[in-house]
Amino acid sequence: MKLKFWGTRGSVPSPGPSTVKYGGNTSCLQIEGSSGECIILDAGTGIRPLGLELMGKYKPLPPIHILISHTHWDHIQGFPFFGPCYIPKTKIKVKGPVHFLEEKTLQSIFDVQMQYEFFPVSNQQLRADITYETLGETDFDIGNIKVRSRFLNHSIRSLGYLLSEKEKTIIYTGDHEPYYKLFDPESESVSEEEEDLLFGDVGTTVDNANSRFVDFIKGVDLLVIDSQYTPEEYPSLRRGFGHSSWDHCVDWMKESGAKQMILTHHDPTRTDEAVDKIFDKVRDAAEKKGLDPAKIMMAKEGMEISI
Amino acid sequence: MSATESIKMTISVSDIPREVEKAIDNTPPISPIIGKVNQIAQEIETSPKELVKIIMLDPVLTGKVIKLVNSSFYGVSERVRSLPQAVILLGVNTVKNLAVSTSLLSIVSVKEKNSPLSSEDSWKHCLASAVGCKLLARFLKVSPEDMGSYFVAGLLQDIGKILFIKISPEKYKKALEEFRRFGRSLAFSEMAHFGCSHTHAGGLFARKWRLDKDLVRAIESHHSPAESNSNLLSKAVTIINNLCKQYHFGESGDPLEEEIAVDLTNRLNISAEILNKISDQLPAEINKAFEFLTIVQEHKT
Repeated sequence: MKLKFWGTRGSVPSPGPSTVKYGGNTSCLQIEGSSGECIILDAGTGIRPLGLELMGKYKPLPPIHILISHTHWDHIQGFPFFGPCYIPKTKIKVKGPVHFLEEKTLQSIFDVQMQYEFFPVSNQQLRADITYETLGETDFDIGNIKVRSRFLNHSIRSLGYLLSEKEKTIIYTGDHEPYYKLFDPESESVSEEEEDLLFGDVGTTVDNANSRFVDFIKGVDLLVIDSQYTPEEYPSLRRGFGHSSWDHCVDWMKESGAKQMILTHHDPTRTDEAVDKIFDKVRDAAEKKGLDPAKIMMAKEGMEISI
Repeated sequence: MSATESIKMTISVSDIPREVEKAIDNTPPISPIIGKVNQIAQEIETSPKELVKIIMLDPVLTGKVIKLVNSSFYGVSERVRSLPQAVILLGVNTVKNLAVSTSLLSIVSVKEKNSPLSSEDSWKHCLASAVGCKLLARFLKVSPEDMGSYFVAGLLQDIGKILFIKISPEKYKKALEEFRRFGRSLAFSEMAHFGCSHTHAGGLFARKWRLDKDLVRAIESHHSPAESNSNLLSKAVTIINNLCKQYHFGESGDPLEEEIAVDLTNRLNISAEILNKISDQLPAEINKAFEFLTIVQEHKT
């Protein structure tokens, strides 16, 4: 499988002179299978240049499979600008989760994004043959690539995807933070009795949910993981926002035996210089844990990897 | 054959009457909670602790959240039995939005003005039973993982009554009147008016909400703990239910079942001293809940 990063930024596009190296487009990764399968993970703004490249390279376009981790803006906002949507007869399958299954479908969420008030072309006017499928936890095939989806921990229902082909595996977490106990007893005045009454039975749940995540990523060849925050930012300011800190990622790499790791979903405030500094710290921390720092990278727009 | 047994022979989960099924889906939270839920809707950051505290005070919201996390769509491998577990797995935001949308539903639905049970009194009874069950679980040395089930079982035991009142407060008023006037069992009166007892309707609710089977059993058999499908959880609910009636913690509408409760406490070696300790702690717990809700209402005005 070949992987290419088209968008590495979290939350909101961040173009400008300070983000040239790592890029300013929001989440989008392209996976190309050895039989030519065309899979796109998330449709952040990075999907626009990817669409242009696909249209230049293929005539006609191959079937395109877009797997959405979740429907926050930074993971779907590039879709209206994805050129292949406007090419008749192009087959595009969009799959992903919704928040409450009973209330909405994936298509209805994409329809809203292209309402006339927000965009001049409605979803129904797109010329390609686009189908939508609402996903939960499941297994399915795209050509010779096997896909497994698992719910991870974000502020909205969000899926991580495991793709495997010929015994090689890639995991894309989308947005994820560790499951945690609901409050910090040290920072809140709660009696022991109240703590027991409200939260006494959750320790095991937290541990099980975190173990389930480690089981999901266990031994993966390439782990592409949300690492928006630093350990300085996360515990006091950003816990509960649904993103991990780089030290979580290093711990998970150690715990899961993931062979390579790419940290992505960079915070929009992060300059290239800041990401470089974080990268130095990540490598130091990895080395201290007995990991090979050369197996860890920071995601950059345009970066390509084959596994 | 008791009334409850005869109902079991005639109704199965697969043929829940349409009216009942619709009422299950549309049942709003009980009123003291609505103000608080709508307040948290306006807050960007909600404290998980506060959120859990609010929702845990409401049987309908609690059931709906547990139903959601246990639905096959979310594919959670372990069966979730308590609200904190659900909040951890679904996330604070998800649960907050679920609570808000459920409470909004209640604003557009018809208020049960003619309800034979005051919503505050029946809520107080549910809450006292929930706290009491959890306190009793401690004395029974139940494992910490199972503690949450005891709270939820106490809270949801009378969910069937909430359903009946939702369907028709007038009919439920009649059922209660006939039961009091003619000395029938409450289950018999409920069956005459709704086709099943509140324990059975509660069981249907619980199954539809995909609650743990122990919780389903506890809700179904909390008035008939001697039945074969009864478990420790349902026995605990029966004991605490009676304790709450005895000390007038809220109002449940049904009579004291003293003999059954005494028999159970003897069989489970629960001393009078333990029950006294629990009843001593309950008023403070209920007051705390009231204070919590009152503070918020004052904030709003």
